[in-house]
Amino acid sequence: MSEQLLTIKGLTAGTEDKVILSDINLEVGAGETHVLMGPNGTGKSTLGRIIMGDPAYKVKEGTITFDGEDITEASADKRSLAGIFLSYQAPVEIPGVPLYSFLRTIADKRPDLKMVGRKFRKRVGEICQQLGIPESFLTRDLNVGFSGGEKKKIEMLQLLLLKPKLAILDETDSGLDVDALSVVSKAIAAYKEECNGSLLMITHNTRILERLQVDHTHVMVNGHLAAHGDASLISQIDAEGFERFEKAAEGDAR
Amino acid sequence: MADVTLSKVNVPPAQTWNYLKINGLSLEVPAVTGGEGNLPDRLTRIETGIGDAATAWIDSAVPEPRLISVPARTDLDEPILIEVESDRGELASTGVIVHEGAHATIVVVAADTERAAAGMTDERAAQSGIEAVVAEPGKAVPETDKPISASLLRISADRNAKVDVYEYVAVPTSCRHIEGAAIEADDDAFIEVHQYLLGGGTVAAGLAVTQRGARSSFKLDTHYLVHENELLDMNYVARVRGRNARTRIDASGVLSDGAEKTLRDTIDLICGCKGAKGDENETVVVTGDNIVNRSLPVILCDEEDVQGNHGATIGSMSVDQLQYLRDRGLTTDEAEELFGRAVVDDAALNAPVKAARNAVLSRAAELIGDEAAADLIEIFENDQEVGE
Repeated sequence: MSEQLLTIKGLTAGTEDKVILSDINLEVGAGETHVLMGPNGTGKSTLGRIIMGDPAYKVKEGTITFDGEDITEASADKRSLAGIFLSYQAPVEIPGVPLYSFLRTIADKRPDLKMVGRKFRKRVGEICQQLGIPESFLTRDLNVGFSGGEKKKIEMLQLLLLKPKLAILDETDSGLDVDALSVVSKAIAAYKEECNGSLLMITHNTRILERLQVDHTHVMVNGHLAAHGDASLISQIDAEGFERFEKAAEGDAR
Repeated sequence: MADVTLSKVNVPPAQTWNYLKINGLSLEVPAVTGGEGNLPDRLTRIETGIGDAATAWIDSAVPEPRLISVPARTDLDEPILIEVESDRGELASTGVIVHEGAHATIVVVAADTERAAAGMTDERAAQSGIEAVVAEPGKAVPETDKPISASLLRISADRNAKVDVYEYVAVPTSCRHIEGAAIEADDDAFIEVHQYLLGGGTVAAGLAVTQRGARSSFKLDTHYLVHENELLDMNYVARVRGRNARTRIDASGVLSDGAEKTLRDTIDLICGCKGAKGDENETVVVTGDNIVNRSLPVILCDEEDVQGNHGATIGSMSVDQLQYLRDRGLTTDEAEELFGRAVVDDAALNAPVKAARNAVLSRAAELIGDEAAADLIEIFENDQEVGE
């Protein structure tokens, strides 16, 4: 059994006036790949954001432990530096900040990634080549004017540059064409291979999982983790959908 | 030498309430004698953004302006470089005629050129015995005591000409500078101006373009960074006369503690410019307290079949932007600093000649701190790629 990297115990959380997640228990071991599936609007992305420390959400009960430290109250920047990475479903545009300056600044914050400028440019250039990102993108403003696929590639560029211990990929596959999906899938596989990091994949699309060896699958319904299983659960959901989990949840609610 | 007052610098075409203090800038400058310059009428008749008084002052101070003519259908191999030594109060007047179908790149660099030539930070300059023009600790240098430099660039672009202009103003806080430009564009002429305004005690940047030709295109992209005790005053005017002309003015910048900035941008869609489109857009990030941020965006319209758009984003970062940066490991303060660093990085990475890049590097430590500046300088050390 692998060493636990992320442990969520009895987590109930939501916005100031609304509970979105109830009694979530989840353990992600070092190097493991977890998939979180579920119908739209059920709280999957919210869980990702709460793990990352988004202040828009409040933890009402429970704890989040990462790499042996209780991070329930930690700020997002501290969680990021501890090794958690959240890839956005819709990456935010930041006019006025070229991609290169952004990458240099976030890398500088990590002692193990501090390197002289030339070496850094070389490293970034290598990753760009790996992902098919033109180096001219580095001088363009962060995510501004990029297509959906290009934005996701830039998220992958950050993933491969920062080498986090845990990557939460929130519907990274959404809105991608076949070619972009292939590039992103390769990037995720490269992350696993190069860093042996842990993955929590939030997705509806099983194609992005084809290159990955999934260890655990979780199904979220109405803010609860309604089912857990191995990789075979994915093909069941692919064939049957979420109906049986939703009905079971309704039954439990009654 | 007695001082004179230039009371109407950077005056916009459309005035507003005086109490808003945005109708122009007043500058004390040394009285100069010398006489009229000898540029041809086709250049001197072009409207400048800085206004008549400042234009006349520079013209009278530079009796022998530089005139460059780019022959038709030629592509200049080397950029035309105009260097102004701010600490010595140097004044420059340059006229460039780009004939039909020709292409020219023009680079203006205003900086403390002794330090910039060596690509030095303040610290390195001090170690090398180069005297930096700085105030005594705890004392501010009175504005009128600060040396004032100026560059006035006039460009006439003939039919199908293409002109790329880069203006780098990186003068120390202890200096003042006037950056003036006057551009005229004929049919199908294509003009792009990239401005990096990276400081100075008082910097007045005024640019006016007259798009008299049909289908002419003018694009201005200004990036600025204003720090404590610095004033940046900008005035951009596009007179659009030609049919189907395209005009775009983008200004983005960062204001930190105690900075003062004024931006006037006017697109004047004059009767006859049917089918013309003009866009002006401003993005300002405010990262401190006691900041004065004035904006006067104007679209004047005397033609029916035209489009004029204005957009502005002024203020601090949005919650989403801040959260994205925090999710990547930056604190709120570091996220704000990133915007300043981004301007400097962008200026250095896009510098078309070494002199421009060194001007940026010479101010980098003051603008973004020693560590980030050293990082940037290291990238370019022994770099032979630009302007060699």
